[in-house]
Amino acid sequence: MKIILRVNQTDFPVEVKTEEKLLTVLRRLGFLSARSGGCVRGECGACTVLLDGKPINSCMLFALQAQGHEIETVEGMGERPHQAWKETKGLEILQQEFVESGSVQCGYCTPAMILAARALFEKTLEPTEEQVREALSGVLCRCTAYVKPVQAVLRAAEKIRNGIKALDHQQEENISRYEPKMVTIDQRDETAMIGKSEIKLDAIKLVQGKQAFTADWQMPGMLYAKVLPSPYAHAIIKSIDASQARALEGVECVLTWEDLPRVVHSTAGQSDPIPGPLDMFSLDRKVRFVGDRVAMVAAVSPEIAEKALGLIKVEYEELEPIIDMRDAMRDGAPIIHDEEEYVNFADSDPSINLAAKIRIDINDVEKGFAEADQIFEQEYVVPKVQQAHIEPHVTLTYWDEDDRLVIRTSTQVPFHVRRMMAPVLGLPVKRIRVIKPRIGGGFGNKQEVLIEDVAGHLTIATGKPVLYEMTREEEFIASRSRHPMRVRMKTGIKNDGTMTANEMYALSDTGAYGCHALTVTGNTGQKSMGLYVGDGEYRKKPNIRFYADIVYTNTPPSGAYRGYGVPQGYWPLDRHFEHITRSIGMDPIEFRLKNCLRPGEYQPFSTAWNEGREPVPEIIQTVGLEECVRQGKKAIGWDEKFGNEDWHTIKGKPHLRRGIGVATVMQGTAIPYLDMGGAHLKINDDASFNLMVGATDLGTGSDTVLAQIAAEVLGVRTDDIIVTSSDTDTTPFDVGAYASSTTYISGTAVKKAAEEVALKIKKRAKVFFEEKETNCAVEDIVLKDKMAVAPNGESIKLEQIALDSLHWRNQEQIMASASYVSPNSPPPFAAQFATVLVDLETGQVTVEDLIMAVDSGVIINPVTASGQIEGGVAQALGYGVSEEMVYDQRGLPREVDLMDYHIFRADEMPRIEAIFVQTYEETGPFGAKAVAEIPLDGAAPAIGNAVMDACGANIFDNPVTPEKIWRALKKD
Amino acid sequence: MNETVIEYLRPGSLEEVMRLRDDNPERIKYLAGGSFKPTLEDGKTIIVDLQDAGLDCLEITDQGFTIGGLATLQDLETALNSPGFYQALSTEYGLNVRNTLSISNYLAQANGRSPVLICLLALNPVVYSLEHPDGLSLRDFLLSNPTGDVVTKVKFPKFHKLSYEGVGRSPKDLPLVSVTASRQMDGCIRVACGGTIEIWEPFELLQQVDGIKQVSNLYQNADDAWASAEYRLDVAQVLLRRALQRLERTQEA
Repeated sequence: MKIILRVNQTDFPVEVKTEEKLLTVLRRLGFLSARSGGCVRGECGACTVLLDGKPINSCMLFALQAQGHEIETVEGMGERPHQAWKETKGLEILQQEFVESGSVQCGYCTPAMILAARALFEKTLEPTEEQVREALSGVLCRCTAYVKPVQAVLRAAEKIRNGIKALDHQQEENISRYEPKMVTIDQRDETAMIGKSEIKLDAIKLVQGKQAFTADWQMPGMLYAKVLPSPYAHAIIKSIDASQARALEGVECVLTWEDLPRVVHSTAGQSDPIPGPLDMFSLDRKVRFVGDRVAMVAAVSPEIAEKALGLIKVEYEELEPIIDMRDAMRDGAPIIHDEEEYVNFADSDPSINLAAKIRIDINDVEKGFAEADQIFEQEYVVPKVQQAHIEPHVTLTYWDEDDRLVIRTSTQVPFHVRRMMAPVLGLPVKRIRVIKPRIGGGFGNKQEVLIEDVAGHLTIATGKPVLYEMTREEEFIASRSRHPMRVRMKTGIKNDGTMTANEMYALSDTGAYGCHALTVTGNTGQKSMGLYVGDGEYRKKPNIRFYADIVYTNTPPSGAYRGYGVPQGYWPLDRHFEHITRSIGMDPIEFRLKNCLRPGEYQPFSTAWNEGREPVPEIIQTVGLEECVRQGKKAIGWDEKFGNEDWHTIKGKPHLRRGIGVATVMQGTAIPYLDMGGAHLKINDDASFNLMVGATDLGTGSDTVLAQIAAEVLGVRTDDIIVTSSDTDTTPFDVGAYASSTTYISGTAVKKAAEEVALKIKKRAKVFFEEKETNCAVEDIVLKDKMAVAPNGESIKLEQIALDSLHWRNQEQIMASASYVSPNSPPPFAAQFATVLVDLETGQVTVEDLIMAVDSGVIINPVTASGQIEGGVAQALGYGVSEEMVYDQRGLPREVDLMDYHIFRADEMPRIEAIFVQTYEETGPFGAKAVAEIPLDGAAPAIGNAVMDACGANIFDNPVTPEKIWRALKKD
Repeated sequence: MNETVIEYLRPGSLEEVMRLRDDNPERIKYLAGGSFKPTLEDGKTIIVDLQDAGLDCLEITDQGFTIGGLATLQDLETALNSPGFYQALSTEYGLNVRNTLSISNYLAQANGRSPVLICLLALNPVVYSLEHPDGLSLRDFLLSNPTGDVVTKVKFPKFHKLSYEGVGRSPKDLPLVSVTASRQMDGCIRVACGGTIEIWEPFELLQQVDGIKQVSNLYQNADDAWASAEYRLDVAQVLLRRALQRLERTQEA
């Protein structure tokens, strides 16, 4: 059927199928800013367009219904101001403000938010913050906590009102800025690019909605993959008949377990050897959770592929499932992994459903307990939660002209994908190329090599390109999640608050497969229990025990989720400490600071644990925790609120009580002696530089940060660095984006490469200076403002040096490669504060403020770093109050969409503020430590502590839902 | 592939729609505005897009107002102009969905967890649809399995005030318990309760104590995966009290 769609004031005649959604047709016309994969059922708003000026979800209408209406997309807004000789109108102010504010993280929902704001501006150019939040309420963002987008919209309105044009920075003096609060406690040399909030290198393309994400690539003859999920939690496939599905017109391939080689593997994207059991197959004759794969289909359209799934006849023999982790190791429990190919790692034992086991004893815990005046014991529970990145997992595979398999995939670990997919697909590593385009959020879930094999097998079977994009429901039932745990704490305390011994036992649920089983749960103890050593003599010999059993159940596999096990540790630990301090009548902050790690002390776990490898004792050099506490207290008004009855009560509303809480936390920075990143840098004719890195920017801004590091060393601007990241053919190896390692590891590699290039530039500069009879040592030459400068002030442009090296004399490509693996893992520290309002009659808790003061060393880019903190805190907020994945006795999930799995919207966020306390970490590039994961650690326990402060309800199971609070209050 | 020939029509009036319906009872797929899952079922060869049939209009009378089934939830919010309804609507949906989802398609999938539905039940509108042109009470309409039917209009009696109370895990989370009370022009108070998937009959309230009894009856077995009956029963009483207090506090035309 031919229709005319009017988009951005232009008529587009287009042939559509009757059932095609507006979203599908717009994307076919090239309007890719309407994102295709967020949910496609009206929940996320990533597919927003304006229809007759109103923001709507384009997945909720057939294309036919849009005939005769005016459609607007961001492609109709501004574009880059300089397009060669062509004059353009430049970016619109809204777009520009989204860029400058750091509102663009992964960028998947950015066009939607810009359009929503644009519609608001049609109504008012003097919006209140509440109106802005209302306008953005239809667009879910998992990266930003909406802090910067709201600021950007308000500021854009202000600029439009004041007649200030985009990029007109001279007139902006009186307009609010975006910089976070920074407190420096260890000042070092002046830098030009470090510490500067440079705009993200990829932001301009993302505010224009350009082709960037995996699903934006279409290829001739491309097929669409779908996977048939298991309806049972534990079953044997007795028979499977795909003949009807194969016969369906448009279906090119159906694969079942009978069609594929059995290659046992893990999907955990980690370095070789994988520190966990090998326990899964692309397709198996046994299914182990509701959502496990049964068959895969490739067809000419997603609709036909979906229809084909319904034609596959499967006969199952149901087996008893294990849903509750406490049942996994009981006598007579069904065995989930009885396959003969199972490969053990360390202490895994499938005969008792044990995926991994940890036993860490540091010094003498029993002696510590014996020396205590009081012992506190309690069990805590933390839930399974989903990363809920708005772009789902998506992979496109195809054979290139040399019969190499290209895997274009939304991954955090492209090099691990290449290595790990090679045996699964039956190809040597050299015949696989992995390309990581823009990623629409990952948060650890894309550290999993989860779906690349599906598209890969189907391309091998059909010879054709195959796109596999998971649905939102598949993300819930068949991707990965945070490990749920039951954690028992036992702590010995002297009457003066000195901790004498601390013990944690974690029963951790890895679900049906053992991905990240050992390493996630190891972190649970290492980075939470490791923060507290006790005081006095106990500082030298802290008594710590951490034991864990990580068990299989018939629920979807757990995996990596930002924070990587550490949030599971801080909920029990910090809630336990709160209980202790209130029991012994000690100030909660004083107790924590009294017993926490200090500079010059060993991270106690470094002497006993290293993710299944040889331990590497490490002395911690920089600890800004005390200052973080000081800054956080000030920002939240701790001294005025804590213990102040007046503040806790609401006049005229006796059923409401306010509370304030704190949690202090520590993360890690990369995995020592393991995480490695490489960088390659070369000069161009105009003294711009190509920087090739294997590091994976998943929206965090790491490409920009790495460019800033190179620019600082080379004395150029950040936008003189052209970053190419994460293509296994063209960039050096990097483990990928996890363990908060990119700035620290890949950044150091970039710095080393840049220093080598700088040295080569300076040597050539010296020749120029000598020709001008300026003699100086190479090491005295400084690179700045795109020039080499001699001590006497004589200078030469880098462009001349570039041309000299490439064309004029003694030609050479000035370039260098470097890589870095660290012997250290210097932890970032933070103090997280929360205030809440509790309804004593209903148990409803409303979080009002979340303030996090963070020591991440020197901050390379304050705006992007604060965006990481804000977004992380918002995820942790959900972990604290609303997010959990629940299963019934048959393993059927309660949450399969973003309505039931509620992530916070713009119009319900508390105040979130990030403060940076800058220490100088000698081992990091320009003093930097990690940023991205620590915000996940403290918000939930701080909220739990604030609830306790408000009403006395001591909630042991996370999240703090209304019913739990109500029950606790009733009990009291 | 053999594509079935499909006709796409945009009738200009309800009468025209009815004529098409009479002529092709089995073959028609109605497009009644935005929906969460726009799908085309097998065997439907005539697509009747209702957007030009005059089903999105608003008519205000002394007795109340009538709004077309193709009006969006945002249109309905504007028409009701009630802070209580806005609170419920904005809890359930962000602005985009409110701008996209039609009343007809909303009602086709609504259940007792929806705060919007609880408000509508308390307002006691009459729903007119293609299948029920003479109108049904909202609850009867919902129990009539309305999938495939199209709401042509909803007639709301004039009301004095609507108050909504709900408890969720976050301010905009679907509520675990919700109670809505409306004061009608004759002074009667009508209460609707929700939080579970069931759609309960709203009740007229004579005295608060009766309301508590009614609420207890509704929630006594209201256990599900989201909350226990014990919790709901207790909290619903609190919410009822608050909803009634709010009704008392200010006047709302």
